[in-house]
Amino acid sequence: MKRSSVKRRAVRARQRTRCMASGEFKKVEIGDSPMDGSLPAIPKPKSDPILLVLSKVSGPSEDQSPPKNAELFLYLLLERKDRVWAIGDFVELYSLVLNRLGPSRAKLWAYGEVVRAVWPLARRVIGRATSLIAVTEWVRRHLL
Amino acid sequence: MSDDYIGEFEELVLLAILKLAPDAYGTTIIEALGDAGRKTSIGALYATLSRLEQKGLISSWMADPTAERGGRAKKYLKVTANGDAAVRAAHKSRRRLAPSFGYDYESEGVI
Repeated sequence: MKRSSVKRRAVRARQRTRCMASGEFKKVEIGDSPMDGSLPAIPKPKSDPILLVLSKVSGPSEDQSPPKNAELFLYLLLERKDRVWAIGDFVELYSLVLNRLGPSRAKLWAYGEVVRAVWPLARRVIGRATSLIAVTEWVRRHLL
Repeated sequence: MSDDYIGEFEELVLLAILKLAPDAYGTTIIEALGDAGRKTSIGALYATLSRLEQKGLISSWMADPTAERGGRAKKYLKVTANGDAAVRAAHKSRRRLAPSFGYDYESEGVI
């Protein structure tokens, strides 16, 4: 082997090590790569589909966004038609509270909002169910 | 005059929307209510907004998604003619009753 090619290889190996150490590139196992020369398949993350939807949209950085659990609870409490804009308002309000109060109190605020949202939002569902029962009862008594 | 009865919180929300127009949406309404001394939760506001929309007192439209909201759209709100009439009616009733307990809106700087 020529001396210059050995030197080039050594330089490349050094560069590779430096990049790997800085996290610039991730190590890909040769065994993972298909034989046809195409890139290895990236495994899909195993997560809840709802959480996936919530995290899919691009937005504020991780530390600027509200706790995922709080967001998920609020998402489940809201009606489908209100989910997108209401969660958007929640995210926006969270970043305002975060700037005013700091991360720990902002997290408390987020969970507090979820707890306080339970009754008003559940009352709507209860009210609807109660009126449906009342109407059914009235129909049963008067018309049947 | 409208026959729609509105509660105290509904009236405040309608007033906030009127004040903020045309930039009235969830976040700004909560901020405006907070500035006026009425802190409210997201859940309470959405339940009220949905009730007001069902009564036909407000109308809404969706704006384009923005990055600061995680790519989610804003829902802008506007008070309808019925909503405006309901607020005026509530205000009128209050003004009629106010002198009975000695509260003068004008001298207090409310109006």
